[in-house]
Amino acid sequence: MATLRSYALPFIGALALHTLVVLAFMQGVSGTDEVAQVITPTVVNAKLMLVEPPQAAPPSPVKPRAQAPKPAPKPVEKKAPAQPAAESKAKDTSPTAEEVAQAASAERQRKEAEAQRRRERLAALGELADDSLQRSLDAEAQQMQDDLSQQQVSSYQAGIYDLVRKNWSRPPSARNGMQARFVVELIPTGEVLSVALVDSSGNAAFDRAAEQAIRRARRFAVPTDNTLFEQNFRRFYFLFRPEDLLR
Amino acid sequence: MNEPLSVFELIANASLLVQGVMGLLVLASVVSWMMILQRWNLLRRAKQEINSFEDHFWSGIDLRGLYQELSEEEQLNGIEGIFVAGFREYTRLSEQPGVDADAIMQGVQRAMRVALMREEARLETHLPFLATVGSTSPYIGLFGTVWGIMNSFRSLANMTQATLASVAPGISEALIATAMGLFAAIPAVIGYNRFSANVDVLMKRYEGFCDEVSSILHRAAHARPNVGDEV
Repeated sequence: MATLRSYALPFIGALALHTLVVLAFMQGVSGTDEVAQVITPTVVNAKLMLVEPPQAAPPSPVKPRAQAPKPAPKPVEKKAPAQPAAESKAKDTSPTAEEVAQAASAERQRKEAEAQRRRERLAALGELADDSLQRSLDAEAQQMQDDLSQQQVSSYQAGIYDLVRKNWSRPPSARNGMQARFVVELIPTGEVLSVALVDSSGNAAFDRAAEQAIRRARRFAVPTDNTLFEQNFRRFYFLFRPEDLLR
Repeated sequence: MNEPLSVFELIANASLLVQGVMGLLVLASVVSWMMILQRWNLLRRAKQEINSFEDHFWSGIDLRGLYQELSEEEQLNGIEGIFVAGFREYTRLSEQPGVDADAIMQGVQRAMRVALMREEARLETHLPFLATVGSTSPYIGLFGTVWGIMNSFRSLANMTQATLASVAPGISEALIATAMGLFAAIPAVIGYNRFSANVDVLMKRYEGFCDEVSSILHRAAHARPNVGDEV
């Protein structure tokens, strides 16, 4: 027992030490995360904020709020005290049971009307809020989708670029500053349909080598998503520019 | 998509084997720290005891009185235990008639050696565990890492386009295992080295003390037979 007890304190100490390490780690990790968050997503967030709320959200909820309260409570409040005051002045002493009942029913009606109005207003506000929220969510999703497809497109473009570069054997007459532009047409499987020279570099050998490079690639990896393909890869320009020569 | 990866998410997403390795390493680390703290406390106390006892011993106190004082205590550890074992053997043997001085000394030395061995065993318990953790946990962590990287590369092979972003989380996740292994190993190795050195120093002091006690008893035993013969 005594030996067991001698381990209790060290055990607690060891556990405490490990929890401390884990906590320190969490702190450190969250610290770096904050930095990372500040750097990257601000651009995206700023776009969303600027585009969405000023258009839809702020003006529309403000208007009903401003309009509704003015007509609703004030006249009612004024009327209510005025009537009993006048009646009591005229008949002076005895407020009969009828009058009391009338006052009570008037009061009730007024309350009901108010509640009804409030309910309607709340419903309208809720709809508005739902609507703008939904719209901003949609916009965000759209934005994300766009980002994603942009990424995909650029990665496919990089793939095409790599493939062509691999197949390109530059002629010895190629010089820095030469530039040849081609229009490339693909079919949805990625096979090259046609290659046409648009802007010549002025050097026939260079143009021919560049065209050969595209033709030799024969088939490129293209997105399976049809709209992406149609938008970006059905027909695109390819620019040859040997800038890295004579390095 | 752009969310920064937290370490805990990575651990949660790791494969079962890697998680097992990580769990094992955390356990090893906790237990080895427990051993380290316990050993540290025990060795510190043993050193204090030996210092105070040697002061007491050489202060000119009557050894028989010291023995009686100590033998009343229930649990005797460390240097006190060694002294009591030697002195008890001496009193028992010297009370018996017909036992000569050399036999008494042999018995005393044997008893003290036994106590010394027991003490060494007590001081060195758990040190092998620390050594094991120190030497194997980097390998265990490395195993987890290699396994994780293997899997992440295998999943890379199935992708049409290989980007760094598709392998990086897997590798990062796998490397946590190595970090954990090192985290467990380093304190264990340091603790092992330090404590085994401390145990060596303590054992040297115990042995020196044993020799001193046996030389005192030797003197007493060789002075005694005459008295015994007379009685």
